Amino acid sequence: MNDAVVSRSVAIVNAQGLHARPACLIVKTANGFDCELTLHLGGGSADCRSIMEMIMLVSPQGAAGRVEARGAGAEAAVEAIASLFADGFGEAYD
Amino acid sequence: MRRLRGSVVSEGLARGEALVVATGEVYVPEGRVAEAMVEREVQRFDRAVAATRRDIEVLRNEARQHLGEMTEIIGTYLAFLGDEATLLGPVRRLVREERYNATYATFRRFSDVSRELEGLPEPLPSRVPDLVDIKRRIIGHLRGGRGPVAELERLRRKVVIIADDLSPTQTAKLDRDKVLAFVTDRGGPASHTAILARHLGIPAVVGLGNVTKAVRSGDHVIVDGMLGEVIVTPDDESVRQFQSKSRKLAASRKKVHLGHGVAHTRDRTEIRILGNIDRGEQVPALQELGIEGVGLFRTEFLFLGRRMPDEEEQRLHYGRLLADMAPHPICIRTMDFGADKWDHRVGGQHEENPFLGMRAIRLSFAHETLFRTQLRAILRASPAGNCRIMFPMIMDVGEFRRAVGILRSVQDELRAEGQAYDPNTKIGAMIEVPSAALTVENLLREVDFLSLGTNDLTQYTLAVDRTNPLVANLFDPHHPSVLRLISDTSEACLRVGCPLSACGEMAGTSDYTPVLIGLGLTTLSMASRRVPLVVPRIAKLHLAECRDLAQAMLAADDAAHARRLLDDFHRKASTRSRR
Repeated sequence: MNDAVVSRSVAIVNAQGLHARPACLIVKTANGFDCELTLHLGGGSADCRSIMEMIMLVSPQGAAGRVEARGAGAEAAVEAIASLFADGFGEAYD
Repeated sequence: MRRLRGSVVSEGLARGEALVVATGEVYVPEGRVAEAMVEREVQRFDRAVAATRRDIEVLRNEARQHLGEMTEIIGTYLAFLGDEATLLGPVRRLVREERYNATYATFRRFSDVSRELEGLPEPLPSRVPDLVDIKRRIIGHLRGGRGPVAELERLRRKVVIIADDLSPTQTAKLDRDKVLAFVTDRGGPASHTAILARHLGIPAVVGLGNVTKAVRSGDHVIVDGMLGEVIVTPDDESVRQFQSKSRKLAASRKKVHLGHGVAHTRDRTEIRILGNIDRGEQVPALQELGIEGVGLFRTEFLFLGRRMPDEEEQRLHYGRLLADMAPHPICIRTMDFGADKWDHRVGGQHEENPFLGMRAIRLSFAHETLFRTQLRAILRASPAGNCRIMFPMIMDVGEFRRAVGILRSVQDELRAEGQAYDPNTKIGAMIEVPSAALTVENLLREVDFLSLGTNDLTQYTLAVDRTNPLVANLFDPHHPSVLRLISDTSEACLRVGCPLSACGEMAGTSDYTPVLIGLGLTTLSMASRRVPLVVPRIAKLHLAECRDLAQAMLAADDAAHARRLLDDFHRKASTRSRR
C-alpha cells in the first residue's frame, strides 16, 4: 500500500466560484478513483466526494489552495482534479 | 376577485382551474427504535436512498429527452445522494448513536444542513429547495410510498399550476398537455419554471410573492402573461375582457397559412418555409399550413423496429410520401444513425467518443449493402414525385463524391435491371461538420443543394456535447463562431446560386429567425408545430435590421455577448409592436 501523500496547488479561476455545478464535477471525477481526496481551500477543507462540504467552503473566484490524495492512483487523481480547476470547470472567467 | 402582479417570463394568456402544488416541507416527529432494530433501520435507510437515486436517474433520462436545460440541475441531485460525509454518514450515525428511526434521522439531518445553507451567502441558500426535495423523496420511500405524490404526472383536467417554485424533478415528469400556465411565488427569468414555460410555449408569471397563499386549488384564475397579471376568482366583466383579448391573440396566431409556402418580412423579402418530418402521417399537417415541400425527411424511424425494412417496404413508404407531396419536393436524408443505435443489429463496438466516431454517412460506407438497399428503394420510388436525396455529416467534397459514386453505381444497376427511376433526382449534402463549411467552395462545384444542420454544426464547432449535462449549458448556436460558418456558407451559396436551407433546430426557433434571415438564409425547414411560432415572427422583421443584427452578433466576443445583442433586438421589436 502506497500511502505517500500527493498534492497539487489549485486556484479558482471561473467567475462564479466553487458552486454546485463545479462541485458536482469534482465529485464525479473523484468517484473514478479509489484514493482519499481532500480539497484545502481558503482556510477550510473538504472531502472531494462530498458536494456539500465543497460548496460550504464558499470559495469565490481567486481563492487558492491545494488538492491532496493518498492511496492508489493518487498521482492521476490530483492531476484530474487540478485540471478541472485550471479549466475553470468549463465556465466563464469574467 | 383579486388582482396580483408579477413578472412575465413567458408570454401568453390562460384561464382555468388552479392547482396549488405543495413543494413545501414534510414534518416528521421525533421517534426511536429498539437497540436490536438499529442495523435494520440503517439498511432501510440505505434502500430508500438507493430507490431515490433510481427515481432521479429515471427523471434525468426523461428530462434529457425534452427539457435539455433541466438535465444538469437534476444531475447534481445524484451528487447530493452520494454525499457520505455531510448527508448519508451523519444520518446513519443518528440512527446508530441516538437510536432515531430512519425517517426522523433523515428529516433531522437534512433540515440541519438546510438551515446551515440558509445562513451562507448566495447562491448557497438557493440549493435549499433541492435538499428539501431530496429529503421528501427519501422520506417518501421510507414511509413505503413510491416517493412523493406524483401530483403533476397524471392531471385529470387542464390546470393552471400555482407553486412556490417548481423543483426540476417535478417538472421532468409533468403531464405537459394538461398545463395551461405557471404562476409562482418566487423565481425570475432564469428559474426552473421560466425555462420550462418557454420550452413548452405556455404563459408564466413569476415573483408574485404569496400567490400560493392567495389562491386555493379549484379557484378560477386568469393568467395574463402579457401584462404579468393574475386575477383570482374574476368577475364577469374581467372574464369578458379576457375572452376578447384571447380571441384577438388566437386570431393573430391562427392566421398562419402560407400562400405558396412563402412567408414575407415587413419589407416583403420572401422566406420559403419547408417541413421537417420523420414519417408520412405528418404530411397533411404541413399541407394545412400551406407548406409546399419537405426540407428534411429523416429516414431513421423506418429502421427503428426490430427488423430491418427490406427494399420493397422502403420503396412503398418513400413512394407514398413523394406522391402525397407531389409536385412539391421531398428531400430524403439517407440513414443518419449514431453507432449507439446500431450495435444491437450490425455488431458495432463500444466507442470512447461516439459523436466523433462511426456515425451517419460513415456508417453507411461501412455497411454499404444497407446503404445500397436504401438508395435502390429511394431511386425506385423517385418517379412518384419530386425526389431529392441528401447525405448527412459530409466532411468534404471527397466524401460527397464517394457517396455519389455509390449512388451512380446503384443507378447503373437499376438501369441494367430495367427498373425505372428519375435520372434528374437532385443530390445534396448536409453542412453540419465545420470541415464541410470551411471547404464549402469545393462542395459547391458538385452538389445540387446544401442544407445546414445547426445542431451538429454547433456541437462540432464548440466541442460541446449537449446531451452531457456537465457541459450542455455551453451549447450555444448563437456563438459567433457558429454564425461565422453559417454566414460563409450562405455567402458562398449565393455567389454560385446554389439553393441553401437550414433544417436544424435553430431554423424552427423563432428566437433565432432574425439571425438566420440576417445571415442570408431564405429557406427554413422546420416541424409543422414550429410554423405558427416562426411565421408571425418573420412578418415583424425587416431584412435590413436582421442584417445589422447578424453583423453585430458575428463580431461579438462570445456567446453571452451575442445573446445580449439578440435579447436587445427582441426587446426593441416587442416595444415597437406594443406601441
